[in-house]
Amino acid sequence: MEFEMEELVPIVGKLARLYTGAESTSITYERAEALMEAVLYCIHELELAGEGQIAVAGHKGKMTAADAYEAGAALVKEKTRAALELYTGILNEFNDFGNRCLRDTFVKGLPQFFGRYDVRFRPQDEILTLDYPVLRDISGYEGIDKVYEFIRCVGMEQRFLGRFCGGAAKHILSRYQGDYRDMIDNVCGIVFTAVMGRMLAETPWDQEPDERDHEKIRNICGEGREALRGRIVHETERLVRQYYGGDEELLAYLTGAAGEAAARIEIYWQKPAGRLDLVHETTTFLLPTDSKTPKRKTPRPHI
Amino acid sequence: MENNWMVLMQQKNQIAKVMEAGQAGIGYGLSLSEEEAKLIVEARTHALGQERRVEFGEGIAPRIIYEFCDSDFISQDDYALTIIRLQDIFYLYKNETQDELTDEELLHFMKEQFETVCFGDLDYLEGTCLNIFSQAVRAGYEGYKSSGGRGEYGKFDEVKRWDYELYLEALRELCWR
Repeated sequence: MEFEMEELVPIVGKLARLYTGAESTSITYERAEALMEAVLYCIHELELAGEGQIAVAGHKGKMTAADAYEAGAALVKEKTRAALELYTGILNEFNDFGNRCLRDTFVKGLPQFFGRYDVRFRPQDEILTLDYPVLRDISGYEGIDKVYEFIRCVGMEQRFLGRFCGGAAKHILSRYQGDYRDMIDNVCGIVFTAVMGRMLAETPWDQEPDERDHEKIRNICGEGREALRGRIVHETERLVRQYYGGDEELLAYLTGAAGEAAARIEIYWQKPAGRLDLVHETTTFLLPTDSKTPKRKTPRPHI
Repeated sequence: MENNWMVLMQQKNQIAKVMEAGQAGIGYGLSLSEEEAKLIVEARTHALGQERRVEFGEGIAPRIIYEFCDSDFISQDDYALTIIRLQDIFYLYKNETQDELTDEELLHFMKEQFETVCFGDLDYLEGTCLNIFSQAVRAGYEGYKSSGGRGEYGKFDEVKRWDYELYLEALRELCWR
């Protein structure tokens, strides 16, 4: 969807009049640029929504820039409402696992965003820096798109972590980093890596990994990073199928982080008694949905 | 201008609008030729670029003409040049007041000081009256919102404009001599 500048300028002029409440005949360059960005953002939002949405807006042929802007602005509003709905839904059962960065960004920061987000004049702004690093790269998004993606990512992480028993996730985090409460790292990624390590080593959920498990991981790592990543993807599919009812969205999210998990496993699991030998509790690690949890076939030698 | 689209935003037909507004001054012995109107519009483009502002709609020049055409301190000789200077000052102080004042409020303030404090001195208007007032606005003063920009300067004026003792002394001399 491409428009000539001559078509866009009157829309910016109209927005500028609204912005000043028709009480000023001029605005600064910076404000004018921000308003032009707002117009382009809304039109881009319509493009993202695809041809179906353009048809809904009542245009089968070529749309005017003004119509595209209005339809896009309506979509931005709709997305903001959807993001707020998604956010409040997640917040009801939200667990920060003691991590301050996750809590500050999600619990303290996002309400500020929804209170200050300017749908009409600055839809391209996220206002927040979204400090908590999610596993998916959302740097290509702007405005409500970015915030919506961020909320979706945190929602998927909550679904993933929500299936762990009692303090299992916190236990993994504390083993990873003693001061995990203050770390600026992805909580889900650390737990996911730990789970993948155990699955690759075939360590039963209710037992500690031993030297044999570490040896297995070392052998797998010897096949190269890409092979390790492939195995992680395979194990993730198995995990999501078994414990998360084949949640496609979660599967895509976790497999997207397979490369990072592979790098972490190479670093940590290769060490004897590496830092991700995680679970000491005799309780199960993940809440079981069936009886297919890994079982060790041979008796474990005492180390 | 930084961007071509900003140039597009400055509406055309500005000369006609300035000429039309210029009619308001005829009753006060002030008129604008087409050449002068062109000069005002060219100066507007320059001033907007200088102050990094974009104008949309009618533009401020016609409104300056309407506001100042009845001034006691503008003569036909310097009419166009005064409008150009007022236009420059206007854009400068839109920025200096961080766009807190509406066009009306700023114009009312400028006109009032031009007539009553500056007595037509544009340098004093720009360098003193507006400078002091814009500092107050930047510091959070909002009284102009209820007054529409009228009767504001007295609150910030650093110069004692009326010496009561001197007035009494002069009165005594005149009446009791």
